[in-house]
Amino acid sequence: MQQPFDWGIYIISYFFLGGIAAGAYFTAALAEIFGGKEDRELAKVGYYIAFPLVLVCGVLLIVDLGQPLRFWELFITPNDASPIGWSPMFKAQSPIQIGSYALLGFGFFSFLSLLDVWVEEQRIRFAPLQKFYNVVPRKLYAALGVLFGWFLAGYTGVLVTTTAQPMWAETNWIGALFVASAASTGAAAIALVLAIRNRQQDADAGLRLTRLDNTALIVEIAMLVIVLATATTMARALTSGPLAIVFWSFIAVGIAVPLLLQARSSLGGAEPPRNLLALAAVLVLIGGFLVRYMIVMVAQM
Amino acid sequence: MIMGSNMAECHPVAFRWPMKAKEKGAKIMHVDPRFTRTSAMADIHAPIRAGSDIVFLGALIKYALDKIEAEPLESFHRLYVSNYTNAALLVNKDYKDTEDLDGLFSGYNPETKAYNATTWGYQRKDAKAAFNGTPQTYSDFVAQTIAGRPLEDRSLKDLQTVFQIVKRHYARYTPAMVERVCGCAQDTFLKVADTLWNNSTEDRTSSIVYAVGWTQHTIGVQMIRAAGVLQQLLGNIGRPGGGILALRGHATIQGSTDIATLYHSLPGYLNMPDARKAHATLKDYIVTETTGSGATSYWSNLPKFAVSYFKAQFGGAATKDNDYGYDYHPKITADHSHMPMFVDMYNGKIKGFLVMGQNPAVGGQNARMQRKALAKLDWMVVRDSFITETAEFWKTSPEVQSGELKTPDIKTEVFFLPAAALAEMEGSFTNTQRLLQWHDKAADPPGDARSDSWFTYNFGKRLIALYKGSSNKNDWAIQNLLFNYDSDPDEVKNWRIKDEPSSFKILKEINGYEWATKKQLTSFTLFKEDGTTAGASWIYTGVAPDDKTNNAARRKGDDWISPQWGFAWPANRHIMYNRASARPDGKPWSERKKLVLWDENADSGNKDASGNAILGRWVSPAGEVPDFNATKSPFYHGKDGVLGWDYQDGTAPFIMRPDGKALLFAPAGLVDGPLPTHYEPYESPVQNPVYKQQSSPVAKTWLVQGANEYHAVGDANYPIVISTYRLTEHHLSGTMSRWLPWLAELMPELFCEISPELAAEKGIKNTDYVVISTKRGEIEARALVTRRMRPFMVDGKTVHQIGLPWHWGWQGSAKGDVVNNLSALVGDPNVSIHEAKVFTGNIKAGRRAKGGSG
Amino acid sequence: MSKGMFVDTSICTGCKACQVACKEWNGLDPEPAHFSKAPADGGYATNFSGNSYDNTGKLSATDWRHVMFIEQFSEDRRDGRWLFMSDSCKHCNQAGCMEACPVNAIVRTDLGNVFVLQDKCIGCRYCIAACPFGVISYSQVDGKVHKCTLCDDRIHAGLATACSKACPTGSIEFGDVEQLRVKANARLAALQSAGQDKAQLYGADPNGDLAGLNVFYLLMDKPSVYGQPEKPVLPQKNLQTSAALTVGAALLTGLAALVNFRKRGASASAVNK
Ligand SMILES: Nc1nc2c(c(=O)[nH]1)N[C@H]1C(S)=C(S)[C@@H](COP(=O)(O)OP(=O)(O)OC[C@H]3O[C@@H](n4cnc5c(=O)[nH]c(N)nc54)[C@H](O)[C@@H]3O)O[C@H]1N2
Ligand SMILES: Nc1nc2c(c(=O)[nH]1)N[C@H]1C(S)=C(S)[C@@H](COP(=O)(O)OP(=O)(O)OC[C@H]3O[C@@H](n4cnc5c(=O)[nH]c(N)nc54)[C@H](O)[C@@H]3O)O[C@H]1N2
Ligand code: SF4
Ligand code: SF4
Ligand code: SF4
Ligand code: SF4
Ligand code: SF4
Ligand SMILES: [Mo]
Repeated sequence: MQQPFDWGIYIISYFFLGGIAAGAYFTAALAEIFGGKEDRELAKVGYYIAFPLVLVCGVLLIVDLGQPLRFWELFITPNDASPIGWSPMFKAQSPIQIGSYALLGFGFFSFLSLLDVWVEEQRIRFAPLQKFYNVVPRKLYAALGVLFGWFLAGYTGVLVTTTAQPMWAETNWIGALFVASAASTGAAAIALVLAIRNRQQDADAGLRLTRLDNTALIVEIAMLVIVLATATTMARALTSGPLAIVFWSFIAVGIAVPLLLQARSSLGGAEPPRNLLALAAVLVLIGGFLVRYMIVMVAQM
Repeated sequence: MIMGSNMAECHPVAFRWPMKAKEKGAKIMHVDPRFTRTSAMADIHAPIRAGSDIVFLGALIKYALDKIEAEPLESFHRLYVSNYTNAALLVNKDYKDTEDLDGLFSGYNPETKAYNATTWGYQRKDAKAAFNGTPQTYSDFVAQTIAGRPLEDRSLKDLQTVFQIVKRHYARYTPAMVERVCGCAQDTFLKVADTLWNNSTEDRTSSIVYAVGWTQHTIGVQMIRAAGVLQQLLGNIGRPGGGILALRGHATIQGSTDIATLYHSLPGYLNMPDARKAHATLKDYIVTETTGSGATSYWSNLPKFAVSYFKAQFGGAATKDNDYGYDYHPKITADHSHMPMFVDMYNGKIKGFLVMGQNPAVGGQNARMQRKALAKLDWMVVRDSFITETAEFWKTSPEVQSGELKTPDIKTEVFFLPAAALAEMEGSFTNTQRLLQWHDKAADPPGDARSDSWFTYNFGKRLIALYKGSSNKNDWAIQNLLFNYDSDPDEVKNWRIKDEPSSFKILKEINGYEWATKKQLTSFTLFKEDGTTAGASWIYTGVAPDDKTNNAARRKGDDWISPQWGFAWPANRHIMYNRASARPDGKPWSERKKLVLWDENADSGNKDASGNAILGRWVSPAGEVPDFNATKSPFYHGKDGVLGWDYQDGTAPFIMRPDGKALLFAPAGLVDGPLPTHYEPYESPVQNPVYKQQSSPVAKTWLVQGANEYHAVGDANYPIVISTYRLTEHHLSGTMSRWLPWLAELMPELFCEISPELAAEKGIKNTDYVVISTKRGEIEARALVTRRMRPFMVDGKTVHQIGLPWHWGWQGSAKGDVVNNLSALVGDPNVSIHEAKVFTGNIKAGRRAKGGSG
Repeated sequence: MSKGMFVDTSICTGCKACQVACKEWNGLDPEPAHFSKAPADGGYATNFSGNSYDNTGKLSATDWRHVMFIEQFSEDRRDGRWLFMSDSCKHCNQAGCMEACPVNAIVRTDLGNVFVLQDKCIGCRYCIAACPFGVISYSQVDGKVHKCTLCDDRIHAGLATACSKACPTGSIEFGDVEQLRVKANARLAALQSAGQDKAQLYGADPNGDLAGLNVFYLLMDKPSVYGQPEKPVLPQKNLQTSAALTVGAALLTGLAALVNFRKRGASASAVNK
């Protein structure tokens, strides 16, 4: 006998968009740190995607609360003992509490990276910023941003497994699944933007993105298999219950088709046509949403 | 054994004690057609068909009789039965039993549908009159009515002994008949019988608990009588942990029969003067009321209680010469109980109606007819805390909605006077164990809501004022009524309402006082028949022994008899007839079940001729008040030609009975027979399997064309047995529960409990709507399909039973149809209580036609 | 010294006095879902469930106590039982709800009872997902979660809980948890020796699940018959493993992506050259 906790579209979207932001930032950081100058463009697209999505995630989280105006309690808590009357909130064993720092941290670094892009593209002319970005290496805050990014992508899965919902609590792998999904949807998001912008020099980046995406999809399948193997009740519910339609369309649309479309690039080296890439990216994104949807809803049917 | 009661649901707080007993290993048995929350707590649940109790009880009686006959003469049961019951007395030779007349007793007159009980009397020696001068006092006249002592055969062998007659009466009530007629498996019945028998010995006692599951039948009183006969044979009466507990209904319903809101009795269980009886003068009343049972029992004191009652009514104006105002006191002329009253109302014979604390539009049987009867009144006053269905029948009843009644045509003028709630008035509750407990006023009622005592007192004072100047002789009574209960200032000092009557003054009048000195009496033994004492109800004397003390307010308990908790009438005695808790020789039956015993060394308080103390007194280590003449030795032999309990032996515990013996066989007092006999309910799907006589030959019926028609026996249109009962969550007609959302959400909608077998037969699924119908009306309810209900096999035929909790009405936060639209006006001949516990009807899936009876 | 309640369902008559006493003492509203519209505006009750005598159905933000009814009857009715259980918060010694709450709005007092600080709760509903017994509930009306507080105000004023006071048969007994455990074991022994072999204690063992429950039960059948978890566990037990696996997955995905990214990276730059 469980009580309804009504985690609906806000939470699902929060998990989904948070994943994309983290995945996109990771891809951007990868390009930044390990790629050459030519990968800067790719990174910039990642940065343009990450921070706005983080903002949206913040709004979604707050709006979903029963007491939206009290979201600050996640970070500070009134404390008569402390001289300033409050003290920072820190609760390791509550994924939501720690997760909110992930969101905060990742928001900070993704903003830093985006600001760097704006400064570079002269959208903002402000001397101290100029000086800062010349001093602090881009790679440093990209690396730190990635850590918080993965944290944000993964904690939502950990959050789900540390409940008393029979289906979720059977497995410890949902975090891993969400991380993989974040990677695939992140890469797909960038690929989609590139395809839409259709700039010439993006070809090589597009190729590497596709391979990155394929890798992520393969990891995602592996994680899904492990999740289904460890959470047998949930597996039954997903494959045969009312969510079966969502599950199988995720497998087909979200993973199989994109993999096929992008497979040639991984193997043969030749670049698939641009609109096919865009299609694959969109499908991966849809898949990302479906997997969050089915996991969140399966315990609330 | 809980039978004819659903104690866990209807007396949930009192059910604490059976649960405590169960924790100490007591066995609890529940005999009920349904498996209820009481059954859930019982060690044994014996399901019986509704209305077949006397077969089950008769078989228990036969079981006990057979065991007793096999016991040695000195056994506990033989000693108890031959000494304390009328088993040994010889019955009139021309008495004929139901075994001889196939279901009728001798003396039945088919035209008048009534019995003449002369053939049920005892064979007696010739009478020895106690008084042969010219009678002076009322008691002298009573003394002239003393009958001869009954003949007896202590060996219980003579076929005319009560023992043998009872044995023959129940000879056919075997376990096989229980299975055949009650539909209860023989092994289940025998488990109940063995458990009861083995737990009724010198050092163990069993009690029987019942409520309206027994009373609400045309043979209700006889069901209770059957339990009385059984408990006498088991030796459980008058002993701690034994006896029969009548679980009363409303709070202080016991008080309402003690201080008599019933039309046929005066306070203290004196009969109301009746124009149809030889009650012309006070002397005639006293002699008629004491002939047969009174003279040789404690009732011989009736003259003192009656005179004191009239003295309390008319005070100084009541004198010897005017028979203490007896002639001006009202007399009844017919059965004015609820059902016949509503038949008269339906026929337009009643003009005004005071409804105080009742909701007949839902609680009354054949409620459609009762609601239409209300439309025939000129005026009706409703005192209640809520706008009940009764108060708004003219505006919102189903009859108005269906157009049967049109509001403009209803001439009844309705006055709604808001009533105070429980904690807004002071007074006493008398509970089911005759215990008076005072409750204090906690707050003033809001606005112009007033308590019923305020209303009755101020209404009475205004009526007295109206008649002040009248010269009409008929108005003597109200002009001379002693009616002054104004509160002293300190009694109302912390309340807004100052003209509330003083409940303590009323209690003091009920207790009784010496007329001249106005000094309160401490015991009813002090009442006189010469007008020097006054007292409204002798049974309560001792509750207010002086101007300061209210024993009903005492609150010191001792986890057992608790003599310092409240006041138990009579005389703070908690277990009636407790002389029977001692052996005939006065010693306790056992150490474990010791209560009252004879202590031959105790100072009796009396002196012998030479002035030294006479020894010997009945005592009770537990603080119980012995229900016996405290100084009458167990070896005392009753004297002939003397009044009251001196006529009775030292081994005769039942001081209110003419011979001091409990009545296995009741020679008088009941209008439908000396021994409980199984008759089918007035509406039954089967012929009476036990006798040719189908149902009670003296049941009260009121055939009102088109309004109160009955179903024939085995009527194919109405084959289903219907029973109505209560739920813990709701209170009676629902006013005090359906208006409270917290309770409304616990039991929101009217439902019908139905067995899976019947549901399958009728194509009804759980929670479906169903329509239940009788000739009186049609209602709809939700179906609750449950295996707690079951079909019964009766004589090889399947009888289906459905159950309806009857709390719902069309007002309040939980609404539903009125179940009592289905029941009929048919009553028990002794007390004219209705038979809503079992009647017939039909059920089908679907919804009631809109605008139907509702 | 922890206070708690021992609920002996063997002497529970299913009278629901506890349910009403709880609503009365805590001033809880009638459950909105049970009425056509608010009773004050003429709404009437519509929640007939058909589930034996239980029309409440489950605990909720306004029903902190819920008496359930379980009918067990053979077809021939020879053996029949009707089980009742008055369910509410267990005030677990290891409370999933308390651990989960991100803002520490759920606290345990000196007497061991667990209750929600209404002025701190942000309504994230994570505690609901984390309670093994499905107790704590969300109110659409005030956007906060609610549950039995073990009558926090009463017990800190030295009074017993309202439901235990109202219970006519003493089925709910309030007191020190240690003493109640002694009584519960004695009561179980008595019942088992009287042939009630299915009788069992639930939550009475301090070394058992969740380090024992401060509100524990004597049940007449398996916990699952009453809709209670056979093996309630603290949800946070998954935390370390789950976190570790997630970090692992992140590393794996990262490396795989890196390898993929760099290898092609080299050839791509060759192409450009
Ligand atoms: N919660 C609650 N308690 C109440 C009341 C209430 O409305 N609600 N009303 C009060 C009042 S006024 C009264 S008079 C008492 C009544 O108290 P009870 O008499 O206990 O109440 P009922 O439920 O009417 O009937 C009791 C049982 O009789 C069974 N029964 C029906 N027919 C028969 C039959 O032929 N034989 C036998 N052996 N059993 C039969 C029914 O199945 C039912 O379980 O309750 C009082 N207490
Ligand atoms: N079918 C069927 N019918 C039955 C029965 C059954 O078992 N089956 N049971 C019968 C029995 S035993 C009984 S007792 C009757 C009960 O039937 P009723 O007495 O008609 O029903 P109640 O709801 O008790 O009505 C009492 C009314 O008094 C009001 N009241 C409460 N306190 C006060 C007060 O201080 N002063 C005043 N003036 N009013 C007050 C309440 O609000 C309520 O409206 O029903 C009988 N009818
Ligand atoms: S309703 Fe009144 S009489 Fe009945 S159990 Fe409750 S307190 Fe006692
Ligand atoms: S039962 Fe649930 S709500 Fe109550 S303390 Fe335990 S985890 Fe928290
Ligand atoms: S809903 Fe309130 S009490 Fe529950 S976890 Fe969120 S903040 Fe804490
Ligand atoms: S302890 Fe208090 S709050 Fe908890 S269920 Fe009982 S009455 Fe309600
Ligand atoms: S008050 Fe006591 S007996 Fe009544 S349902 Fe609650 S726990 Fe059971
Ligand atoms: Mo009653």
